[in-house]
Amino acid sequence: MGERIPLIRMQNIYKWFGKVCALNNADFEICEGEIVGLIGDNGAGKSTLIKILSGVIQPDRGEIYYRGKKLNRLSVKDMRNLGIETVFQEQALIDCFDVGRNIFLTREPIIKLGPIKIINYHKMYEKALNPLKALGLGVSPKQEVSFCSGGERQGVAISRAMQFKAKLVILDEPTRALSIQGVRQVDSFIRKLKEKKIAVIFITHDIHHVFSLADRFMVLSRGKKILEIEKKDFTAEDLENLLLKVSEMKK
Amino acid sequence: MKLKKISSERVILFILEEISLILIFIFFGIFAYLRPKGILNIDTLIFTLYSAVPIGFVVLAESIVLFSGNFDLSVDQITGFSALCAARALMWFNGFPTTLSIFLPIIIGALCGSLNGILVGRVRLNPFVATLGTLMFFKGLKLVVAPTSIWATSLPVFYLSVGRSISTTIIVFALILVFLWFFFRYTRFGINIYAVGGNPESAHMLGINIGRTYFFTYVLSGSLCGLAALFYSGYVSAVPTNIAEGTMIFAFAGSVIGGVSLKGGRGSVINAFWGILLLGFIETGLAMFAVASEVRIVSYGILVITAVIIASFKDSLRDRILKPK
Repeated sequence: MGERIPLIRMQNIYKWFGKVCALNNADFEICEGEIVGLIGDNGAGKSTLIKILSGVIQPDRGEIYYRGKKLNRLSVKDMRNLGIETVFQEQALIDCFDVGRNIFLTREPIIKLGPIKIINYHKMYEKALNPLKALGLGVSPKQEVSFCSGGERQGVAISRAMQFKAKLVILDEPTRALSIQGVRQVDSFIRKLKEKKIAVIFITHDIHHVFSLADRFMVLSRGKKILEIEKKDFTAEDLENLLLKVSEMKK
Repeated sequence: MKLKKISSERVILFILEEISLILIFIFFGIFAYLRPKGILNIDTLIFTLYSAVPIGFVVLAESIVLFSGNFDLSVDQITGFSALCAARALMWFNGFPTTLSIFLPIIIGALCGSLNGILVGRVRLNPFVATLGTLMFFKGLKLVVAPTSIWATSLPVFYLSVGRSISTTIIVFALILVFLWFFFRYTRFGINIYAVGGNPESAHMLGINIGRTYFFTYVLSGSLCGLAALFYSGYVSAVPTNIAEGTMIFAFAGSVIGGVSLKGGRGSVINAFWGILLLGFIETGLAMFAVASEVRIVSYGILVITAVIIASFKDSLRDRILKPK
């Protein structure tokens, strides 16, 4: 990593849900323009880690640094203001809202009339077309999300991350429920992010898919970082075998 | 053949979505046919609207809580308590500025709403249980504050004159309706209330403070109950101990028949307004034919059940037609 200051550094993170320890002294860091594949079995703590990084939940212990500066109890809004965008596994969509409203929810374009801030729907639907077109989605920004297919829903969730100027994009199982064309569009989106020096955390179960995109891999098991490897040192098969061994050790 | 089936389903869906407007026309037509001189009269129509305003505020109060995916069983008790408490306070403090007196029930209503807001938004109680509790609490508190009815002679003239004036009542209601429509359509906070009602978990992940949104919704709802209290007092020209008693069921009927979803996230104050107007027409029509009060209560019960059945049928039909296979 040299002497580069990481964009994000998470140190000694602990999180308990009742008696269950979801994260047990977990560390993580990512630099600008880097793609990190976050790998682990179900319940390894991947989603908990990114929810902490997104501000959705707070860690019970541990520190988070942004460009070397310590952050204290930050909310989703604060994290988004820092340029951390997340595509959650749950997609975080409001089914009864249309596509445009879902992309811009809480960050709708506004017109200021003195102290009153009015949502500019015209601009919102116009701007919503850009990420939808970039992902090759034929869905209208005015279509209700509950009437979208699984792939379209995932596309809407990704469009939300594309719309705003991000420094770090977290993708939790982003290609789940996507068609081959959709997967290619997401891959191309991730590569474009890298070109723009935007960091990406890519969480998936598909080792071969993440291997083709990521620069570095971090393996979590039972809430702990058990392995961190550079892509150049391993092949996808090596990584797969390692994960199998980790699974067997757990049993 | 398939195309024909789909189009007929879409027609049914359209009818169900506009059911309150269609029912308004049906009831209006029936009453106009049976008593043309009664209902086809501009004064009757204006009076119908005027008399629907106090309950209209209660319908709006219930509707906005439903938008947020919650429920409020205490709207009628908050309305009654605000009316009695404000009237009693005005009796006690003779020197209270008359122009400010009209804000008193609104403030009391907002405070009552904030109690619901704390219980649901902060303590995270089930809204049904929380508002059932506050229903009983305010019902009891009403008797403590005002064990007997308060008559017009004991109250400032200005306080009751607001609700007595037909034009003022209708104008204030129209302004509040426009404000609420604007708030829920064009402001981020208004949209957040729908988002929380549509999917609280997703709304939380996107940074919306669920507890604060619930709290504010109940405060707004309580303020509308306070407005209802003010206009009820003027409409009745007194504050009887049973003021607004039982209006919760009408508020619920008006909201649901107007198209406000029981699941949260859907509906608008304009939908609720059609529900209010429908209730007003039914009430005027039943009064015109001197229908006995017990029959009226039964008919409103049927209306609520019908509204819920229609709402559930509408949701399943919409899913069947519009969801991708």
